[in-house]
Amino acid sequence: MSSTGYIVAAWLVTFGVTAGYSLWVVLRGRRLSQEVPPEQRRWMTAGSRGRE
Amino acid sequence: MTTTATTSDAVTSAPTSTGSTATRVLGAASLVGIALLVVFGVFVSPPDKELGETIRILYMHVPTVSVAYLAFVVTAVGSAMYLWKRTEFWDLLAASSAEIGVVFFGLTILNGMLWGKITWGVFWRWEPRLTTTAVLFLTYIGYLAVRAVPASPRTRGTRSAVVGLLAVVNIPIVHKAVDWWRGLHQERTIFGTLKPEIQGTQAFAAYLGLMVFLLLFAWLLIHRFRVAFLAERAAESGLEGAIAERRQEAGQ
Amino acid sequence: MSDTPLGGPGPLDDPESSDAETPDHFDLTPRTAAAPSARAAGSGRKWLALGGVGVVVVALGLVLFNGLQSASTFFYNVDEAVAQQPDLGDSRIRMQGNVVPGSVRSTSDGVDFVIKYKGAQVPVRHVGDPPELFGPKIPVVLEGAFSADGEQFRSDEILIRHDATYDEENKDRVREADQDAQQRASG
Repeated sequence: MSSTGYIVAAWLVTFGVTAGYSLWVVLRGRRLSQEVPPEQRRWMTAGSRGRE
Repeated sequence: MTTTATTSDAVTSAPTSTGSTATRVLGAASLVGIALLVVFGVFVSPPDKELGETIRILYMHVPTVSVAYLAFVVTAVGSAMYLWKRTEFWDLLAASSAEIGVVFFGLTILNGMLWGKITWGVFWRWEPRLTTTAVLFLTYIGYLAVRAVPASPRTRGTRSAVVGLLAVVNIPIVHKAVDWWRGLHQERTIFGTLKPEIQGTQAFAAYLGLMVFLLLFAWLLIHRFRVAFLAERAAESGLEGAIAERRQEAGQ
Repeated sequence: MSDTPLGGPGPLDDPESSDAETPDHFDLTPRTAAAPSARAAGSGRKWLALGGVGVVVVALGLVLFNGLQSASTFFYNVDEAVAQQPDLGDSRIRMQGNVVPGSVRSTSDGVDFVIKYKGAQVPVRHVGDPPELFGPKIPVVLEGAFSADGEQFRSDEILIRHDATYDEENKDRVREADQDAQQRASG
């Protein structure tokens, strides 16, 4: 039945893209962490970091 | 700066990723939820008497669109708060949420097209719900494009906050499009007519789907916000590095 | 520059005050090649990003134009289409109605049937395969045009429409479909 293919595709696409995007975000976080001084790696207190 | 107080702690336990206890708990819960959703959504729940097996696509379609709307609302709140408070937090929160929203909304469109192919017979028609959906999707891609234009953080933040506030107006239009104009798309299913008829394991799968994608959204938002924060710090140190380089050249 | 790294090189913490220490001709022109980060990037990235914004704006314009053209009147109901047929002529439109039970006949290149809505009926000649769910009483949207004499609608695409009436009529559908299949087989 052809509709089964579309249903399976919908699930695979949804979770596949979500997984791919998640991986991209996490790996980007790891890479950027190496570039940033340790004391600047986390946002700490709201409002204290007003920009210029 | 108030951050100085925490400096020594931060150095001793400097994070090497955007993970933390919170994200690990959310991530584990999401994975368990996804496993349950596959079991209930694909295998346990019966086919619908009207929609047949295609209801299984709606277990993806409705949660992804709900979470995308939520993400865009978070972007709007972040944008408004940025224009008021002018703090980096709100700007980065708005941007992070918008990107996640675009991903989930893109998925909504994709699995909706697959559903349309089975039920209507076509992937796409320029009917009211789909047309307004395309407008909404493009508007938030535009938001991300505006953010990608190099500018000072304040200029970039102001520009994108304005777009973020204008864009959210699209959501009620998309939501009401099925009531205002005639089209192919069925009546509102979220906060609409279909929900009360859903029962038993179908209802369980539907609500489970919503929970799973909410967990995923929370997990992604924390990670994405931290990435955005790191990217700002990296951009600053990069800029400082470049200035230092020029000074050296000039002063040699 | 309130967020400069703690313990970073002293003079760099405040570029304005350190200007005095730098020579007069301190090169400020942007350089694309060695751009270490997004914010310090040169004009290449800027034009790419502006191009992206431009593409999105054009796409939005096209979608709005496209959408306003077809979405405002996505379809006519059969009774409206019949009433406006003299004006519509043989221009391409979409028409919505329910398939009349017992009217479906297979032809060599498609299917003939009658479509009905609010008392108005139009015979339809469809060229092409009807979709899987096609059958009597199902609300459909047809894409096509009236014949020159306005007596018949010639469609080349059948879209199945799910709406509230579908649910109510659902109970009878299997029986109707059986009847129809028998008629088709005998006719």
